[in-house]
Amino acid sequence: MLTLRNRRLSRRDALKGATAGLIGLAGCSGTSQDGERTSSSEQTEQETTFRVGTPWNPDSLDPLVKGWMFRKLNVIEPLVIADYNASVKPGLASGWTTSDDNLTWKFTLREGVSFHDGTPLTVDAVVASLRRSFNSDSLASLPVESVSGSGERVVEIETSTPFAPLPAHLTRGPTSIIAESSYDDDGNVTAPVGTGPFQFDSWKPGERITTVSNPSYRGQTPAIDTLVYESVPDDQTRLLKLENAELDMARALSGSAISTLNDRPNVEPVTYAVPRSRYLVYDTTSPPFDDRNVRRAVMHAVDREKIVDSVLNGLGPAATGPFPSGVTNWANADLEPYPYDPQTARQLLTDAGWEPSEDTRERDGAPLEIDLWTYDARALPIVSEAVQAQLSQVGFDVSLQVMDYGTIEERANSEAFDLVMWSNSLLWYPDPDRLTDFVHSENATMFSGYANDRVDELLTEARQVTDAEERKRRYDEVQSIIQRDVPIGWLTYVTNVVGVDADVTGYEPLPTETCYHLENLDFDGGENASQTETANAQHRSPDALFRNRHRSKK
Amino acid sequence: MSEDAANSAPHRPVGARWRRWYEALTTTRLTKLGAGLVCALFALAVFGPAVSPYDPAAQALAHRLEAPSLAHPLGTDQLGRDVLTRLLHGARLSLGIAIAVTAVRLSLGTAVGLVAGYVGGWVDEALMRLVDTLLAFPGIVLALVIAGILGPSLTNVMVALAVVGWASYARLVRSSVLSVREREFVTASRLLGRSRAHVLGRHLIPNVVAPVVVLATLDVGGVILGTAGLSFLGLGAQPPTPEWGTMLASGRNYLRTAWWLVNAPGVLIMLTVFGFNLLGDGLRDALSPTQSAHIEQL
Repeated sequence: MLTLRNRRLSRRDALKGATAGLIGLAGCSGTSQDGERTSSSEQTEQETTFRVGTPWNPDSLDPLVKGWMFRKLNVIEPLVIADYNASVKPGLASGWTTSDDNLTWKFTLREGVSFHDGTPLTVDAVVASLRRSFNSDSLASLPVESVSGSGERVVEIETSTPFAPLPAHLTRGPTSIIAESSYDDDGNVTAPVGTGPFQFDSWKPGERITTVSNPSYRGQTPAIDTLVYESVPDDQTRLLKLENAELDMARALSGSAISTLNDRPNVEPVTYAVPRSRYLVYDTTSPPFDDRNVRRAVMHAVDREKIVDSVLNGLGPAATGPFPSGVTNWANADLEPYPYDPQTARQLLTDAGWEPSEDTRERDGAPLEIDLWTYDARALPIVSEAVQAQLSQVGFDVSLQVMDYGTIEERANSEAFDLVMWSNSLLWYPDPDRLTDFVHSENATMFSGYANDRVDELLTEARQVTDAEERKRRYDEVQSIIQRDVPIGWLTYVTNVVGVDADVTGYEPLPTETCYHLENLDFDGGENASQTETANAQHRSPDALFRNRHRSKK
Repeated sequence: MSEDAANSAPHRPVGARWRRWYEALTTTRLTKLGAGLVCALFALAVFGPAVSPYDPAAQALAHRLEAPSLAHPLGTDQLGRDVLTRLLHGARLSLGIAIAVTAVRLSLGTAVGLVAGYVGGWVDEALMRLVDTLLAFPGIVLALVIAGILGPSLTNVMVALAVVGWASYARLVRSSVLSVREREFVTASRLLGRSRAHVLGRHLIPNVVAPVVVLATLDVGGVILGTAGLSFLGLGAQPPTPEWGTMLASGRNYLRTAWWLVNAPGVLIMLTVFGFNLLGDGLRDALSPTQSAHIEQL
């Protein structure tokens, strides 16, 4: 450098300098060896920006369409919310009661709540918002007859039949309460004006939503000033952006990201069990899976533990029934898992008439060839490949097709299929009535075609009683019956992997995945760290057992 | 037959023709490199799978993501399968597909080009407008659309690639035919009362072979890239088929922890395309300097 000053700057020198500068810049934009963070959560006295990267695409502002997204960000709030035990707790309603015939529900509104536009949360506003929700397609399956106001603080919802899961359905994004000012003259939502700790600021369709903290929130004001929700569809890109401090939180990462996150000083992984399963849906109306023995043979032929330990990096665990018992009390604790036992699987296939042949079993000259359809999310393709290989060990010839999510839904609902590998949350509204979506003969949205009168009867009864014990008894029986009949083969539960900036504290992931609760976050080294730490404690769940920081280095 | 042979346009002994091809292949160092790469690839595809001790689809979950070692020279993948074995089987698949698709493109394109160029008139007009339409679309995008509509499978990828690629052959063959058909030996043959089929078969086809072979050689690399690209996007080979593009796509999730999963198929695809392109370029320069301008335009 000194010599440079003493002579004329030639073109070559200029180029050298520019190159060195570029390399230097490139080096600075990453993370230096001592772990110093070049942050995007720019912490100044005035402004803290926090960016969340997710695979999902913000393509609508209307809570009826993308309510779940604004619910996750806590821009909008419903009357009821999900708690850390995957159960319901008061949201905008401070409590609720039902009439003796269980047809009328009275929700008492919380005091002192105002919308982001400053208007108070009134019975009229709630009734108008809920009427719009219940008139929409997304909630059309609920037996809600009418919504009306009763006095100053009570909203009445009448149902045509007793419907115990109603409070759980009221946690869903589309039932969130938004103010009149959210709509334009034609009734389209131009900005979701809710009541949450963050308020909508702007969006770029398909790319990002920007929200800012709500200064008049009834609870503690968030430590985050600007919260950006960014769509980054590719897992690896999301991870890289987090490492390069272009994101402060990367959601829905794969299990293989954990070691990478542990190796970097500026980020860390948070893993938590969720009531979500990976499962096989059988077409119970066409051969070969119209035979229960063949479905059971699959359950014995698949080594679920091994799949979890290997391709899922230990993130499962292996599933027994629909609900993971570690996350929810609705799981039937007495269910017997199908142990991995290829010999039993072979025997069951032989009993069903599928005789051993060279590689593939045969029945009446027809080979045991099946199609396995899946889509590319939640590690489903690689789990499917492992299942494909394990089924071939007992004499299936499985051809695997990775297709579009929508194509599978369309085809499985309209034509005969064999086997579909799917993943879904079993409690995205926190009520075991979700089983209706899986195994009810008429109301199921999963396409197994399973029909069992006793299951239908139990599911209907369980909707009509409100006593939790009574309901659990029925749902336990449903779980036992479907464990025996296997219209759906539960393979593994899901453990979510979220990468967060190492400076973030106070992140408690909610098992139902319905809300990120980023209003509770704080930052190490933040000026108000100590004072908010105490305040935050009130907001946090007493049981942080779902949270498991993989900080231990190998 | 003997009379026909005596009358055929280029009167060269067979040995001389082979020598010409050999000379073409060894003119420059780059062409030699290209020819070497292509030969090596064919050797791997033909003999590799037989030599490899592993089954390309056999999973060994206890040995997943193992780094390259003596037992597994290119490591194992996310399901414990030997990457080298899968690459070798994939080479057979990729080369097979590329040759098949190129053959279809070449046959269809040559037929259309010959007819258009020789018959002329409204037939030529109609065929060439069709060719223009096809050439107006970017090939890979059109193939993406076709494969997307047909549904994910390797056969559909082959159909899609064949459908979009024949137009350049038609254009090339037509222009060659237009110049050759005015040559004196063609006129002489027609004056002698030879049939159209005879003129086509004995005089026109042999004279358009060279540029077509050059284009086909260049095309093979493109088809391999196209197949890998469409498979990478999930439209092609379905698991556990060891197709290079599919291997690349599924290895992408392990880019940070298991570099060999992406690099092995990636480098092989690159070398293959590089080899075919070098070979094609060399052939073009050596065989038909007068035709190179046509090819350049395509």
